[in-house]
Amino acid sequence: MGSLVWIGFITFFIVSLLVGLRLLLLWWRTRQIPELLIGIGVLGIGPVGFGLPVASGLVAGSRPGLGAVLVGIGALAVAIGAGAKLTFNWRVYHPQSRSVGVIPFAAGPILLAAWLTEWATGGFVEVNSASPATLIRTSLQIACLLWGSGEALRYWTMMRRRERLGLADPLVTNRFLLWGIGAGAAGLGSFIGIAAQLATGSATGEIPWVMTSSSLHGLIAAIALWFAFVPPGFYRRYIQARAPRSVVA
Amino acid sequence: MADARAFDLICEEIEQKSSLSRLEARGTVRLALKKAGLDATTVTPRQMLVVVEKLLPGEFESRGIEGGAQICAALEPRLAQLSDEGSGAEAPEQVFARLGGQA
Repeated sequence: MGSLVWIGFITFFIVSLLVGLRLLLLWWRTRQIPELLIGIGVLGIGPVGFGLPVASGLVAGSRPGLGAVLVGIGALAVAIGAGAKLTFNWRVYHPQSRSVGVIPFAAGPILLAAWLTEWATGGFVEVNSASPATLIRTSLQIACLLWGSGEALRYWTMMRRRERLGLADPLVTNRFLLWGIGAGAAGLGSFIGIAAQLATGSATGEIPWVMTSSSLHGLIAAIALWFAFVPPGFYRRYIQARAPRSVVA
Repeated sequence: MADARAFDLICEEIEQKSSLSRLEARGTVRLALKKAGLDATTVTPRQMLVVVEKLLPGEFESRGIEGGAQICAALEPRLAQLSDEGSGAEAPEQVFARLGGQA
């Protein structure tokens, strides 16, 4: 069972690393802000924010100082990634809304303050800390993912209607659905983990069903990310073939 | 947030060419846009043209407005005069189209 759990984690790590790097390479070519934001978001919350705490667990026994540094860097990556995703949600879905624009500008300092508080109080020594600062940072991380998922799924329903009129590309329409599923799975998996930790008082790594849940959510997020941003040829053809026949030439 | 030029233009034309009041005309077009998955603030002339061709006649018919097809036919040339520029901000579908591009 333990090795099966690791399949989800490793798949998520590899896929989010490749997709995140690919999005940053895309940004390097286009120089468009959304590509940069989503690339930082995927890399920050995905491979860096998830991978470093796992790595710290491997070295914590022999080098506890290094373990804490890795957890701290991972937490900083998550904070930066969450800030980038919040900004992405605003810039992409509500670019002309000042009230929505307040969210990333308010969340940025909160994320930074939470991280600094964790650092100052030695919160990174414990991988599965549940200090108030950790909870604030984790809550914002979950919020940015679930908000992004909700926005993508809302837009997907609009794009489906457009698709029937020949006003939307089926592949782009499907990309909203997949991003909604991927971000939603990541957010839900994180929420279940922190909720279980708070409810039981045990670290998530010590609760087998939470590890299974997190692995499953990670696997779903990885598959959705890959098909959304690096869709294989057969999948492209499948989506194009099943698209409703346009009523407009 | 201001409505798109294409939306305002069509509503004004409908108000002039039909028995609908300003409020009714705007409500009718908003409903057609919603069915098309579009928004009054961001709809482009090209998108509005499709709505006028495919959905608006049905909306007129459901409200018992006579000559809906003729009204819609008269709206199309007016839309064609507008340049196909959006609200200025990039639409989410443009961003998501790029995100699947080759890096």
